Amino acid sequence: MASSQPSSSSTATQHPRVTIPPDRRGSRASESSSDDGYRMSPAAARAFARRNMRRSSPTPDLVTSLVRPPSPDRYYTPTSTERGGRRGSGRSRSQAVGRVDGSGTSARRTGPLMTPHPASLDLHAKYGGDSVFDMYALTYVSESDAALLCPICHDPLVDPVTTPCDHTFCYRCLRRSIESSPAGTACPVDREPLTWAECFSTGRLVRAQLNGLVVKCPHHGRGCTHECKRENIETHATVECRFKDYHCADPECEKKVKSKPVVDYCQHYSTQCRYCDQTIIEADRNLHLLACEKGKARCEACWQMVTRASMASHHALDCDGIEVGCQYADLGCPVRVERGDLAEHLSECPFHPETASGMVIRSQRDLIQTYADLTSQVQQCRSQQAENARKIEDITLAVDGRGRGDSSLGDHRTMQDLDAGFEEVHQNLTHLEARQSMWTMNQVMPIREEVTELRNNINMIRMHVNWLLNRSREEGRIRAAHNSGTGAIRRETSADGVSMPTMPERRRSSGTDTDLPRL
Amino acid sequence: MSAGMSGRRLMKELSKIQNDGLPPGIELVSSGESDADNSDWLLDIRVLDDNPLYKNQVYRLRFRFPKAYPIEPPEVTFENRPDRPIPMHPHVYSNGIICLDLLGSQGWSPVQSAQSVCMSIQSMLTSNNKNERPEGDEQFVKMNKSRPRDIQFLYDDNTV
Repeated sequence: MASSQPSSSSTATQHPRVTIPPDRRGSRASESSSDDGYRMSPAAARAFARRNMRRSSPTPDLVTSLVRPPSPDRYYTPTSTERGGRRGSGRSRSQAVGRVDGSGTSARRTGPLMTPHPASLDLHAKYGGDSVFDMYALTYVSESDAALLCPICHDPLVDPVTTPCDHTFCYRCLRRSIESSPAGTACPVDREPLTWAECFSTGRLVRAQLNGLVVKCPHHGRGCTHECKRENIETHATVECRFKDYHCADPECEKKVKSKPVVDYCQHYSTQCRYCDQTIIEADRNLHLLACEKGKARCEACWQMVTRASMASHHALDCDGIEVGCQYADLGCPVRVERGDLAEHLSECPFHPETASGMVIRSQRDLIQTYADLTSQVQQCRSQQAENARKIEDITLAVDGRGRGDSSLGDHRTMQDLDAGFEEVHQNLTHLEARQSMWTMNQVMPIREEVTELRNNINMIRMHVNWLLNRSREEGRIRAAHNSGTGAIRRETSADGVSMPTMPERRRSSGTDTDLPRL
Repeated sequence: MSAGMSGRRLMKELSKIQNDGLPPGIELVSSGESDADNSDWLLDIRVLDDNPLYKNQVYRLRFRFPKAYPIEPPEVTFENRPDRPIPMHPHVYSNGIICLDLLGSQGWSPVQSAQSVCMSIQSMLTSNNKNERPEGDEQFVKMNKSRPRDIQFLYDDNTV
């Protein structure tokens, strides 16, 4: 309980440093982050405030105020703008119900922010309350300052909680007082109307003073002489102190027990938890009860005893102390109240659909809704159109790609393709032709040469044959002429060829072969 | 839990009385410590001014503290003894029961103490000048068996 953040310091940092009328502060904050305030010069801040003043004129533009979450201050101005301290004394219950959050100095408190010591939660013994270290039963070494005493228990404050009317009590004392008060809740000192949610943990300075008070060890009755600051006493008493454990009532048993035995038999036997049927050691029953899922614990918000297992659902559904939004929040109601006060707020909520203002708001909202619907429809149409256009394009492309359509476009395409084919074929043909002619040429040339050569040979042979014919004719003539004188000629002839007389026929038919080498 | 609370608180009040004393006209007779089974406190009060109704008279108050004291109010009655009469007052019945909103659960506040209650009763007597009992006193005294804490008073008089 000593080392948590104080509530006051965290809220203080949220206020902008510039001086803006407190009732404008909420509307300011709704438009810009509070950090802007630190950078603003005073003149700029004043101008800003003036602008806001104009903007939140008595007849605010309803439509815009519904589109943007409206500043709560336009609907609820706090009765007292006094900062901190005492609130206006005429503050009635119904005004308390109309509290809103985030409105500057009248910022709604959500109960003490610091986690109280378990002893402050006032657990009954049957739920294990006896084993909680009792901060409220400490013995103080010296008389403390009267200002640090709780007006209810007259002891130094434990978990101090301050009311909106600036009175401070122990957490447990105030809770008990509020709980027992049949006439609703009022401050015990000055009877100011009071709700738990409006109280807050007292500042760090006070808590530090309280934690610094010197107390005796709770086991001083058994001989412990330890004295220390209050914030350390729990550690001492539950961990360090050598007097913290008691002997078991049974002299035979060597185990210890945590609290003074109230029965004269050994507590170290197994038994069943009366809530969850789990098997536990009797001596540890209280410790188990503090964690037992089916045991009850205190709901800090509404002070009811709630089964631990159902605590979450209790907070979500039942707890009257939990702050919930107005059920017309979707209509724009900014109010957040405790669930217990919700019915009261609903009866006077300006956003209730059956009040005059609610009807106007509802019709406006219907208009806005219609407008939004139409807008979304238009957008839908637009996107659909775009989609369709894209589809058409796709289809066209697909058709073109297939290319064998009946359309003129397809024809044109075909013609082009055919032309190209023809061109190709033509080229190939030309090529082939060239090759063929070349090949033919190559084949024909040697033949032609041969033919030429043969022709030459034939001519040569003809010349030879002619010469030979001429000669043989001449010989015949000569022979005929010299038929008597043949001896001489015969000699001459036998001198030219040895076998002349034996083969004259042969000479005429195939004499070229034998005669050619002579040529 | 609550049992310890009243004891501790009463101890505190007692030590404060022993240290600082009581205001004039109020005296602590018994604080219930002398006999263990009776934790009631007895206090004597006197009216300080010259109100002829209460002049030279001492009245004895009996405080009976519930376990949840100071969250719950104590039962405070006048005690009738030979030398301690019941004061005449339009809100004090002749059996000693006091009709005072401060002592009802509606008007009680846990910051009150035995001392502050005594002072309230003292001033209640001081400001009175009617020498009468409440309406229907005889019948109430005859019929009433319940304890003061269980009686539903109707606090209609704002003059006291």
